[in-house]
Amino acid sequence: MTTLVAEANRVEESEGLVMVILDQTGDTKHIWDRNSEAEVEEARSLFDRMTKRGMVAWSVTRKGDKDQRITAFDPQAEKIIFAPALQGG
Amino acid sequence: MPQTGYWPQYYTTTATTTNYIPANQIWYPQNTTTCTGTQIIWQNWNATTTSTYVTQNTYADQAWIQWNQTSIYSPRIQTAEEIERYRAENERRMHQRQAARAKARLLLGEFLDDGQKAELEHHGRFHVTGSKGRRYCIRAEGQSGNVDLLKPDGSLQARLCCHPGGALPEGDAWLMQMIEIRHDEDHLLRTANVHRGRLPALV
Repeated sequence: MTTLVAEANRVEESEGLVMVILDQTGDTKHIWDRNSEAEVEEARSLFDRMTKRGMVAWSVTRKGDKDQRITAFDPQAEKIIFAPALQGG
Repeated sequence: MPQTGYWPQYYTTTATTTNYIPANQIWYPQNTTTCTGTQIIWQNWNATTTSTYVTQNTYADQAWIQWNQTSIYSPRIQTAEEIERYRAENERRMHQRQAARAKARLLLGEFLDDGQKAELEHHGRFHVTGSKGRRYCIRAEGQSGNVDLLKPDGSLQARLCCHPGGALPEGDAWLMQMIEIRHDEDHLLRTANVHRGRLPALV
């Protein structure tokens, strides 16, 4: 699995699926290839680590027509965003 | 609670002993002597008394020394090298923050349609339709209290404060506010603090 720190356009050009972890640097992107069993497993492991850390996972699309909060890894999700839970301010 | 300035009593199975504790010292009733013979009682008592007395005196002396110490405010003068190092560090952090903000805006841009992008660029806000059809305006003014719930006529119904934790850059926070509104606006309304106006009735 490739770990990228920047260049969202590179992510867009990639053939793989992407997990975006929001953090103080903006975000960290992890791309994996759904055809590679090893990369899918690594992505699943990362998903579990993030959710155990209390991050909320969203399977999202640009249009917002398929936004959904997910609690289990979905290898078919195009883009998964991890973010800290919303809180009242 | 520790007690001071009195004569506590030690009770044992075979004897009762008394020891004066001065008012400026603290006695913690932590030792209980239980012995079978008077001689052993006194051996323990003498050992305990001596060590306890020395310990308490030590504490008392230290307190007195500290009491008499004067604290004079004398900030350390930074060297030119240190000042330069702090300046460089501050500059590095500022660049990091700017890069993080730019990156977050880039990610947000991936989820905004053209109309929302234009709104954000020209008016510093963008509108979002919630999962139940209500309209919201996310203002690009920080990430606290920047979400407005609108009435059907476009006027303000409630000003909301609801954002992700973790000190994310603003663009990331606006993105998550938008996703939450699109996915489950009632959850956002229940989570948010209302800064102005009133919430609608939630089912």
